[in-house]
Amino acid sequence: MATTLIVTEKPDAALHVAEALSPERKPRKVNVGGVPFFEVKSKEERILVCSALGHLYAVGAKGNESRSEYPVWDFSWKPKHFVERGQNRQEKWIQSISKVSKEADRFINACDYDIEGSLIGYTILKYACHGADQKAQRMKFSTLTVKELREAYEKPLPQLDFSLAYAGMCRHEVDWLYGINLSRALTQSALKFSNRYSTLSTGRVQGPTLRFVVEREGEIESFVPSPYWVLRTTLDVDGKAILAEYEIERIEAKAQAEETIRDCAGKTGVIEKLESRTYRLTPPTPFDLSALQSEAYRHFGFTPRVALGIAEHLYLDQLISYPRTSSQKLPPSIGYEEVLKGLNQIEAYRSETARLLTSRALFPHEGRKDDPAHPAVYPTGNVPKRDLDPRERKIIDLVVRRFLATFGDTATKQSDKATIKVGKHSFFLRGSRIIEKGWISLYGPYTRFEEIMLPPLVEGQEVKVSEVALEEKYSQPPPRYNPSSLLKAMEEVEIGTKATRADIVETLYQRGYVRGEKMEATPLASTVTGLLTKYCPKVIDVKFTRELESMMEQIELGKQTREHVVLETVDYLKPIIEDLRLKEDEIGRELTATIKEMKRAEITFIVPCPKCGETLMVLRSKKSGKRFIGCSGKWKTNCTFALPLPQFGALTLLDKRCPECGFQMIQVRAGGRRPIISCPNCYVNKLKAPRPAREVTVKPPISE
Amino acid sequence: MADRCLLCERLREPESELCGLHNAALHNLENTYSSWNKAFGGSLTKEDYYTKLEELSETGRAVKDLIQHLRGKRH
Repeated sequence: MATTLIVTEKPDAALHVAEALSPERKPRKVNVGGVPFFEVKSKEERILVCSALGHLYAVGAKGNESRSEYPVWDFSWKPKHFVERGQNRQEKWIQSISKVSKEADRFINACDYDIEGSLIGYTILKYACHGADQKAQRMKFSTLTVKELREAYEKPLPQLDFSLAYAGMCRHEVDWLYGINLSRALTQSALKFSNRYSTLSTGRVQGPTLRFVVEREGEIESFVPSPYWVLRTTLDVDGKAILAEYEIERIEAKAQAEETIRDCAGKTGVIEKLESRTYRLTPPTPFDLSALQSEAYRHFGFTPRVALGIAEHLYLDQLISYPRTSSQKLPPSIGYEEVLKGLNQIEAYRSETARLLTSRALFPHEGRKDDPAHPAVYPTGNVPKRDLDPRERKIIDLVVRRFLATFGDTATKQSDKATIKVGKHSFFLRGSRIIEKGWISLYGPYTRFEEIMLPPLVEGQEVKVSEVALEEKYSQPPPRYNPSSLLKAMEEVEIGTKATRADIVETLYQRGYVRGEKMEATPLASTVTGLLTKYCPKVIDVKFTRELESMMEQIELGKQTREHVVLETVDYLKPIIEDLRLKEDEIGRELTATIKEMKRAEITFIVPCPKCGETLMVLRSKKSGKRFIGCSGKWKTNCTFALPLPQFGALTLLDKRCPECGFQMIQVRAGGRRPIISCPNCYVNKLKAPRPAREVTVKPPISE
Repeated sequence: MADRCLLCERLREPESELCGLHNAALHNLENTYSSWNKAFGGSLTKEDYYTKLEELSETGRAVKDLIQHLRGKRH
């Protein structure tokens, strides 16, 4: 009997593949060396389905070089547990897959159909399955539904998608060369100068991305606002007060604004013109990953990484299609009607789906972007088999409603405008309303249209200016990036991939380069970006990163070789790294100064000591080792001011004052718990305050 | 130190006493004065301009550093 070994990317996917291929949907779970495999047996064949744990192999330095050495140019693909710490499960997985592969005659890569999935499957088949990559086949699917998995198994691609796997390998190798050499140059420079270790990193995409945030911070810090004036005008229309717009949105001279007030206050105007226009609002396009991440951030505040994580869970639960897609297209092969019928089983979507199913032929309103590997994100129509958590419910509802909306009719909006002449000045009244809801009713809570109804008006009608006031305003600095807008900026300049962008944004937080939801660049980010700009500007140049990205895309198309791109990268990086090595002292001095400044800022309060006016800091008692707020004036003025602090959890001094006493607030985050925000001063005052007398109830003694 | 900006710890730009950030702030501060002066009818003194900017939350931190420095120089 022939044995087929199918490699999937994650354990859940392995189970779904095995279930789909098992006639009774009940594959047998087999344990090989502590690793689960799923077995499906028929008369003709035995199928074994195993899963990876993401990547089982990674790029590592050739030989046993120390983790601090640089430059490093020689590398090879190694089991991940040899390269990264804490990857012990991977070792067991490789051993078990390797053992089982010896029994197999046929091999199939059923990892997700994209660069990473192709690479994960390729490395397992090549290294763990003893060169089986050369004879392996490829299953291609976009949902984990039984129908699609069976079709993918029955009609696999005859060989692996080598160009995709090589493009993936190249991406990992180039990123490794960049990351390892540049990050080690920074970390070692700081270490040599200060003798203290701090993890500092940069990368091919991380560097240019951080530069966006740092440059924006610079624009905000050097911003000088300009004044302008706005007229707040209220008109009396048949006894009803309505706010009107002045013809000049921003008046740049105060005198001109005051003159307009003198001309108009208390005067009567005439409606000179009434205009109405109708606009067609076309339905939204289906979700590609970035649009899904952007909407999830806008409506629920989920960061791109969180949104992707939830979407991946929903994919593994067979509820939505593969989310890592760039496509805005929904081909008929996904079976529109079948999906709608499935969704019709869910109470919340019954009326909308019934309307679509009976209305007319179904045509989605597609966007321009396409992805050869997957369609846009769409619901499978399956009913959830388990209780979804609130966050999953939000994302699935968003995906379903977006899918429905793309099949909706065009909506129609009417805009009304009345022009009122008061002497030589013009004011406008504006209204808007939806005439035909179309797709808006399908997208439900995710569309926001404010309807403003104007009262009945006629041309020539007189209206009185009942109030006109002047408001002094100032131009605003550019907004800080948030995780969603930064991801969009990366996408616009085409750096990173849909699979990596969200992780890169998250890394900026982990490395201490940015803080806050509105991403504020830290001094360390400015220093690192400043040093890279000074010594190797090309490393953080978007154009250069984009060129590399395009070379790697050529590998996917079979027009470029992986070896060529890697050699180009080494040739380019070598002189830069050698130069950085010569300037270690200078770089180390800069980095150390900033790290010290940041560490000091992290433990220094903005509010001065209420007793002596000196600086308050987080200190540790030499005797007990306990942390507390102490006054640095102790050595100058003998000040003994001190406040207790919570002893457990990560402490952050917030840029926020206590509304009761004005002291600086703190946040304590202990593992797995919600952060607690409190005022250390009020905490002590409450402890000192006399407690209200309590009523004491004396219980009668319990009789024996 | 000789290679540091007058107002912060950053390295100063060639042929300048300031770093890139404070130079950008100085450039913006000088260029925006004329629009402020025009907005207030040509009667706005530099001192009033600085005072107004210091009060505004929209004004960048580097600009506020610079105003303090310029004031210190005058007195």
